[in-house]
Amino acid sequence: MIKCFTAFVFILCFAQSHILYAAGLDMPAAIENIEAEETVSSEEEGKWTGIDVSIVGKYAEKYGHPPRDPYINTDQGDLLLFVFTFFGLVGGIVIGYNFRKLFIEGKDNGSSPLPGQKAPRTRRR
Amino acid sequence: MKKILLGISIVIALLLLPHVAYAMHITEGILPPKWVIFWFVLVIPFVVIGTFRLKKKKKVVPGFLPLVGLVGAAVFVFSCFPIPVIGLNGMATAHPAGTGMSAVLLGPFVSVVIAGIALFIQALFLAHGGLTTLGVNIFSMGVLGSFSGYFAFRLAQRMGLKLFWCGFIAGVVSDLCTYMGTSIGLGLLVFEGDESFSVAMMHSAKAMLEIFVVFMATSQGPLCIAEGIVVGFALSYVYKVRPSILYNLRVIKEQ
Repeated sequence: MIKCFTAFVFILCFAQSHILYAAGLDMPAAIENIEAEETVSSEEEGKWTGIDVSIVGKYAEKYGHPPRDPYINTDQGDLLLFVFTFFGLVGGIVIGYNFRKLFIEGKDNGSSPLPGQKAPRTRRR
Repeated sequence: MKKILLGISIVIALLLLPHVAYAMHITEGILPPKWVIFWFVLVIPFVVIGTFRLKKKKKVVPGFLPLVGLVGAAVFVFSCFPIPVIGLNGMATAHPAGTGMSAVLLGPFVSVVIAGIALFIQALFLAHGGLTTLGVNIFSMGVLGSFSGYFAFRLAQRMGLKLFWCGFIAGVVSDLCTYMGTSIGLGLLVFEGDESFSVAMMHSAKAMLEIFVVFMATSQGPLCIAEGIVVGFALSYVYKVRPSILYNLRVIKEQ
């Protein structure tokens, strides 16, 4: 099962990297002296802004302590996308593995993951 | 069964695909040095006690580690998972804390350690929170979130409520107190040393209240209810599938 999941993750990462690469090829080259305009309407309107920007950042600036870039700034291009994907997948694998260990394997085998639990009685055939 | 597992894995993987998280974490650079030191000094005892409790429980309860792994990863994912919420401020994103659930299952001190690890990784690699603001973030999400959730759960149990509602109250209270902690951290920024203590505290309290009301009136109000439902369902699920886990961790008494 873990093998299947690992294979799926690899396929996902592989496909995703190729999609990003393909999307990059379609992008037109930048024209000198012309600044790129924001094309995503949602960003123009400020929709789906995180409350750390809209509330925490706002009050921090109001009190004279505006936020600054983190020491390890991964918020550069698609780097943040990569780290979120990576840690999201790692988190998902850890959750899935331990969930299986606690709730699937333990239940099916009748073994206890924690001490003090009585194993269920099995009927002899 | 394998197909179901594969399906669950795919859904989890797709759900955890790229999202840029913006939430309650106090960002790098907001706190002046005196408050950075203050918050670190405040949370260090909780983290040390939590580490000892974790080591002790690991020896006493052999199956404790898988549960810590499961809950720890869940807290990490929850606390950087931006959920779109439509509040009074329009469309925004906010995230749950997850420490209410971990405090109920693992105990409040162990929950502080888990929150600390999750926040440290987020600050280091995800540009989410900050290293200098780690202390205040551990205080709000770890200490306040965990202890409030734990005591709310115990209080609800004493009132004789069903397990789902005990979990629901723990989730809601934990989320509320987490954001209260963030409000305290931000509100203390207006604490000026030049003023007398009482006046400075009054100014800080006013700022804290203002920020907390804004938090709740915007996106976080509906989200804390959602977190309560998730915690309630999670505890009900564990009780249904493996009640022995709850018995052995003394979450509920064996009947």
